[in-house]
Parts: sequence; C-alpha cells; structure tokens
Amino acid sequence: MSGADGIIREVATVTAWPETPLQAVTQDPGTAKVAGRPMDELEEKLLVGAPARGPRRSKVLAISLGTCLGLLFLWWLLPNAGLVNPLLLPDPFDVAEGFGKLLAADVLLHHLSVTMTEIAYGFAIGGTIGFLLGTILGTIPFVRRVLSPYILALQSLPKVVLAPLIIGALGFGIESKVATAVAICFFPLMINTMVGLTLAAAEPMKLMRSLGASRLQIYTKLRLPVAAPLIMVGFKHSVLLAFTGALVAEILVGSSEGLGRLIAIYNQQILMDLAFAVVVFLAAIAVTAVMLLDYLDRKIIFWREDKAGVK
Amino acid sequence: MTATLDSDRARSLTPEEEQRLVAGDTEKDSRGRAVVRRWLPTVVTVAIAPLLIGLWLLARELDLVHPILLPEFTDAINALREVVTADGFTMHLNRTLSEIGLGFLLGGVVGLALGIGLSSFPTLRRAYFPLLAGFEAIPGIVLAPVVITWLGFGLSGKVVQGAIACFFPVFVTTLVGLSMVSENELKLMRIMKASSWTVMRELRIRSALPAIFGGLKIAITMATIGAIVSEFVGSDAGLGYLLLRYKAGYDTSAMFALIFIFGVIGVLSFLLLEFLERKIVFWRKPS
Amino acid sequence: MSRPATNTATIMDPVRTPVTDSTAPVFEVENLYKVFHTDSGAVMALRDVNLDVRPGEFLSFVGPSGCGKSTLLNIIAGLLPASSGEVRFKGRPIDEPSRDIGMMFQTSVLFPWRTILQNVLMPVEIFGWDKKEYTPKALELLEAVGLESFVKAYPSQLSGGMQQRASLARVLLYDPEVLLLDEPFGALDEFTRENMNLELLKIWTQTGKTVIFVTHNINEAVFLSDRVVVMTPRPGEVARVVDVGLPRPRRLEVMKDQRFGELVFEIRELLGVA
Repeated sequence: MSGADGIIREVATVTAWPETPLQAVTQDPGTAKVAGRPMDELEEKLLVGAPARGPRRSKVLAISLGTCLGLLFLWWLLPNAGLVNPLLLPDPFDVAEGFGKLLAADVLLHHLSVTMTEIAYGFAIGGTIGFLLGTILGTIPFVRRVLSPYILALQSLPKVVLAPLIIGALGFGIESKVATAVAICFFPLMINTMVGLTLAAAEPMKLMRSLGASRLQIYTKLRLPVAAPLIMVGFKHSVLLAFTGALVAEILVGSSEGLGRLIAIYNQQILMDLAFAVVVFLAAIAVTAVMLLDYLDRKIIFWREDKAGVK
Repeated sequence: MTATLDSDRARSLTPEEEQRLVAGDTEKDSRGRAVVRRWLPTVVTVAIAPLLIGLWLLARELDLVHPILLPEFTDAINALREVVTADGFTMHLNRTLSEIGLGFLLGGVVGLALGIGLSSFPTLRRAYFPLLAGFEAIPGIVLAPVVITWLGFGLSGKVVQGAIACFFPVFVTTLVGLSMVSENELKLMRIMKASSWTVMRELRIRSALPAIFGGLKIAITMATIGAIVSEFVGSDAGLGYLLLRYKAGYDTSAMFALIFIFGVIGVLSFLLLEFLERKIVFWRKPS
Repeated sequence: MSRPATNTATIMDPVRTPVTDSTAPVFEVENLYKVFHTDSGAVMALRDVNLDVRPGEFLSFVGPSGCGKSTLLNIIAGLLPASSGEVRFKGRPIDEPSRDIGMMFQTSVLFPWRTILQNVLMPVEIFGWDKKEYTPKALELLEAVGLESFVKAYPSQLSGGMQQRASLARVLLYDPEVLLLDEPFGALDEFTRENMNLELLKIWTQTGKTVIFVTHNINEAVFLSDRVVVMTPRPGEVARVVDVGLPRPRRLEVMKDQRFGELVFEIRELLGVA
C-alpha cells in the first residue's frame, strides 16, 4: 500500500491511544534516542551544511536557454551565410518584420477570429458528442461489448480522410470547417471517457453498493472522479485535433478564410516571411492553449499521483 | 456419466472476474439467463452490420439524403472494384504506403534514439523535455505547406511530414517507459556490476518495451494522418491525391471506396503492430 | 483494567438491546450454494454452507485463499445473490445491501479527491441525510480514532493504518448493527494490525454490534472471536465451526495460554496444514 512517503509518524498518534503494548516500548525513557539533546561535533558536521543534491535548477535553465539561443543563432546563420536559400528560409528578423506587416494590415486578427470560431464550435460540438457517447459506452457494458469491434474500426480510420467528403456535402462555408473539426476531434474524448468510466475498482464499487447508492450516485461520486484524469487527457487531445480539423478544411477549400488558408496562400506565393510569421503565431497559440489546459488539469485533478507525464 | 467437481469447476473468482461482476454486470442467476448472455452480445454485434446496410438502402429508397452524399449501395460496392482495378491505383497505393512506412520509420528511429539518449543524461533530459513537450502541442499541419514548399510534391515531403507527426509519441513514451524500471531490478543489475550500457540494453529497454509499443501504435496512426494531410496540401500522387481528384469529379462512390480502403489500411497496420508486439514483448498479457 | 482516556465511551451507543427476540440469530445461512458463470464455464465457489450468526457475537471466517470466505461475506452482505439456498437477515431473506450492515474492506477505499472528513461523511450524503447534523459526530469519531489533526487532510497524506482508521470511522458514523470486515487489516504491518485489532475489540465490547471478520490468519481469528468458521477450498465449504471458549476481555497475553495453542492447532488440522 502506497502513501508511505513523507508521512506523519504513526507512532506519535498511536501513543495518544490508551494502553497498547507498543506504547510501553516507545515511551521507555531508557531507550529514548535523538529527542531534543544537543548535537555533538560529528553529528553537526554531517547534518548542517550538507550540500543540495542533484543537478542545480540554474544549470538546467542555462542549458535550455543556451540551446534555444543557439538554435535561434543557427536559424539566423543559415540564410545569411548563404547556406540556405533566403527565399525559402527567412531569418528570424525577416519573420518578425513579416509579422509586423501582417499586424499593420489588420490581416492577422481577422483571420485569427475566423479560425478560432471554427475551432471553438468544432470542439464544443465534438467534445459534447464525444463525452456523451463515451458516457453511454462507459456505463452500459452491453452496448460497449456489442459495439467494440466497430469502435476499433473507427479508431483505425484516419478521420482526416472524411474531410473532402464533408466539404463536398456542406459546401465552402464555415459549416464544413466546423464539421471537419467535429469529425476529427470527438473520438479521443469518446474513447477516454469510455475507458475512464470502466476504471472504478471492485472495492470502491462494493462500498458504494453496500451503502445502497443509486446508479446516478455511483456515477457522480465514484465513476466520474475516477475517470476524470483520463477525460482531461482526452480533452487535451480533442482540442489539438479541433485545431487540426479546422486547419485542414481551410487548406482544402480555396475560397476560405482563416490562418490555415493564409499559410497556404503565402506558401503558394513563396512569401516565406509572411508564411513563417503565421506559422509561428499559430504555434504560439496552440502551445498557450495546451499550457492553459495543463494548468486546468493540475487544478481540477489535484489528487493526481502518477509521476509520469500526463499522457 | 457423472461430471467431476475438479478445480476447473470449483474455485473462487480471479480478481478480474470479480471486478467485472461487482462493477455492475449484475448477474442474474438462473441457468437459462446465463446461457443467453454468453452468445447474445456476439449475435448483436454481427447483426449491426446488416442493420446499417439496411438503413443505407432505406435512406436511398426514401431519398432522405441527396444522392451526391449517399450513393446507391450497389454503386458504392461497384466503385470499390472499379477504384482498385483502375489504372495506376497500385502506384498510388504504393506511394501512400511508402510515405507512411518511411515516415513511421524515420520518426520512430529518431524518437527512440532521442528517448534513449536523453534518458541516459538526466540533466539534459530535465533541460530539454519541457521544451520538446512544448513543441508537441504544435499541430503538425501548420508545417505541412512549408515542408512542401521546401521539398516539393514528391515523396520526401510526405515522409518528412509523417516523421514530424509521429516523432513525439515515440519519443515521449520511450522516455517515460525507460524511467519506469523497478527498483529491485536496478539493484540486481548494480550488484552484478553491470555496465550502464548493459543495464540500458538488458533491463531498461526491455522494461520499457510495452510502453514503447503503445507509443508506436499511436505513431503509426499519426504518420498516416501526416502523410494524408500532406497529400491534401499538395501532391503529385498517392491515395489522398486520388481522393481529391475523385472529389473534384463529384464521384462520391469512389470517395466512399477510398475511405473504406483507408480504413482497411488503418486496421491492418494496427494488427501488424499488435502481432509484432506479441512476438517481441511476449511476456505481456494482451490488453 | 483502567478506563480508556479518550471519550470513546461518550460517542459509542451503549450495548443495544435488540428489538426482537434477543437469542434469534442475526443471520441464517441455509443450504447455500454459489456458482459463477465465467467465460470459461460455470464455477462453484461455495457448496452447501449452513451457518447461524448469533446477535452480538464476534465471528471469524478463516481459511486459505480461494476458500470462498470473501464470497460468503459478500452474499451475507447482500452484494451477491445466492445460486441455491437462502440467507436471512433478522428473519427476512436478504437480496440487496442494507443500511444496518456496514462493511470494511482490505483497502481503506477512501476517495483521494475528498478530505478525510468528507470521506467519513459520505454515507450520510448517499443516504440523503443532513450533513450538518452528522458533522459533529464525524469529528468525534475521528478524534476517537486519533485522526483529529487530519480532518482536512487528503488520504494520500495518511499512512495505511491511518487510512483504515478513517474508514472505520466512516462505517461507525451511521451506526449499523452489523459489521462485516473483509481482511480489513491484512495490508498493514503486524504491529499496526495488532493495534487495530485491539481497538476493534474495544469498539465491539462497547457497542455490542455483531461482527463477522474474515481473515486467513488463524492466530488472529482465535484471538478475536467467540466462534471461528473454518472453511476449506475447492469448492468452498465449512469444515467446522469452532467454539473459542477463552475468557474476555482478551489481552495479548492470552496467546501464551495452552488452550490458545490447542485451538489454533485444531483449526490447522481441519485445514490440513498441521
């Protein structure tokens, strides 16, 4: 049974209880050990001034920053030293300039709002569908068992291939972007919710049933919290896939707006400084979104114990 | 003929069995009900496929959906045959499969190498992992147009895109898997004075194999998506390219056929990895 | 034999007088068979179990792994149906769990997202009773088990023994007549386990509850119980119900008694490990 690290001494609390044989042993003054007496020289030397172990945080930070700066320098060097065609690889300053140009021309914000709208709707609808379907599959074993081969088949299908079909069906407007995002992003949330809801172990279930809990109570008080870590992971993946879905649809539809379309246009016209500017901008947004979700995850799932990364 | 009450028939439940029974598969105990329960799920599973086909036929019959969206069932079946036997299909198929395979290989090898390398140097790992994890959040598709501008419509661009897409799952699961070695096994290695490389090879990689295979299964899917997305952005061949061609010609039946083929490719690649896993990680019970 | 220094006596109800005939058995198990249907066919876990549980007694089920003692406990609790035969609780056949029957398991089953106090109050939440009304009692119980400084803590901050104490407080909160304990201290180290057993005996003495205790440790069973139900595996059957006549209250010194050793060996013989 885990939970033994860094814990309050149990002996101390046991001695608050009356008359156990263990108490006699621990309270015998003749065998009292380190309690309260001053340290001798050797003890002091060993305990006080012991150096901190493990790689210093400053060293780690230095390596990270150093590598980043090194890479940035390399990025600058390649086009300017003529090692790479500057038309294809603009240096960081060109990209920054491009970014400035786009901001000044009011282009970025407009297309940003278009893309963000698509992603938001896509995730809202896809996430809801995924969560609801996952809940049904997770709480009704019969349905889950009956549908599992079909779910596996659906999982193996790369849902991006549905994009052309969806665009053919829904046309060139924002609906096809949203629908593509929905199609691609509902699956992780559905699967994770389904698996998460089956995780509740036998003994907690027995406890709930021995208390006469209703099915709804078992769901809200046991199954859902137990599933929460997995659901959060599915949530994260869904958000990222909503990004992908919306951008794929934007790229496929020549007449659309949005940051994905911008990247496609600038690439076709070999305006690489502008293209890179949008790429970096979009990447920054995605990374920020994930950081936000990680923060939410740590707040909501405050009891998470696994040391492995949230995957 | 009297049956014997041997240990097959008289025992207590395994923990998994208890878990299933207590976790809500409430068991009704009359013998008839138990027999029905055993084959009922399979029957329903098999019955769903014809049911869906029936719905398709009905929808077409009642014209509930536009024919452009939902062609006749027989048309779709015929289209499958026509697409597969069409001129150049094999070439497109091989092209996409190569893209996926090579991308998976490239991304997998780099991911494994970096994962193993980084886990041997804790300081580097602590320095680089947060950075790389940050990069993971970037949707691969934003890089696809740039990759194509640099490498053109040919095979190499798709391979690179696939590699980018599948590098991260392999890298992260390798790193995590390598860090999850049991204390006792490490101590055993140290007592036997094994060198770090031996420790890595014999113990850590072996222990990490289940996790790594989990990452590989995700990676093959990501590599497939990367290749297809790259073909969408611009390509001169491949199944994704074909899909767009059929779309331009409003040939929905052919699109259905291609989607089905993609599904088959997905299932087969998953099964391939399952098979490999069972061979290489033979000590693990199937999930 | 001094009075305990804690206020356990004030929050535990005095020995209760049963409403009905005080000698009528609390549980009656009659010709009980239990068969499970697994993927690999039918499996018999319990065969022809007959047993009466007397009111206020401390009863143990002892036997090796796989003898069905936990299955029998779960059926008595109403968590599993019988395949054949009947189980009656206070004269009425039992087919679902009852609030008069409390259970403890091998793990503390504390929910890691709730504080200790919230965990202890969970039964009250499920029953739909007023949480505010029961909070004082919950706090008293936590104090009685020595966890008063961990009321706002989370289970991961407590050791195994402390977690089990919290789960003991939880089951005592709604004061069920019967306690069914499925190897509750099996995951703890020996010293902690002994303490918990002694504490359990104290609670049992003061409240007069009927206790059924499942264990694979013969010494523990003989030490704690009035009677020991000895079970053998494959299929699970009751070999014999052994009467432990040793006087109460039981101190650890009783293990030095010759009679104690004889009883333990009698049980070992029944289980074929003498």
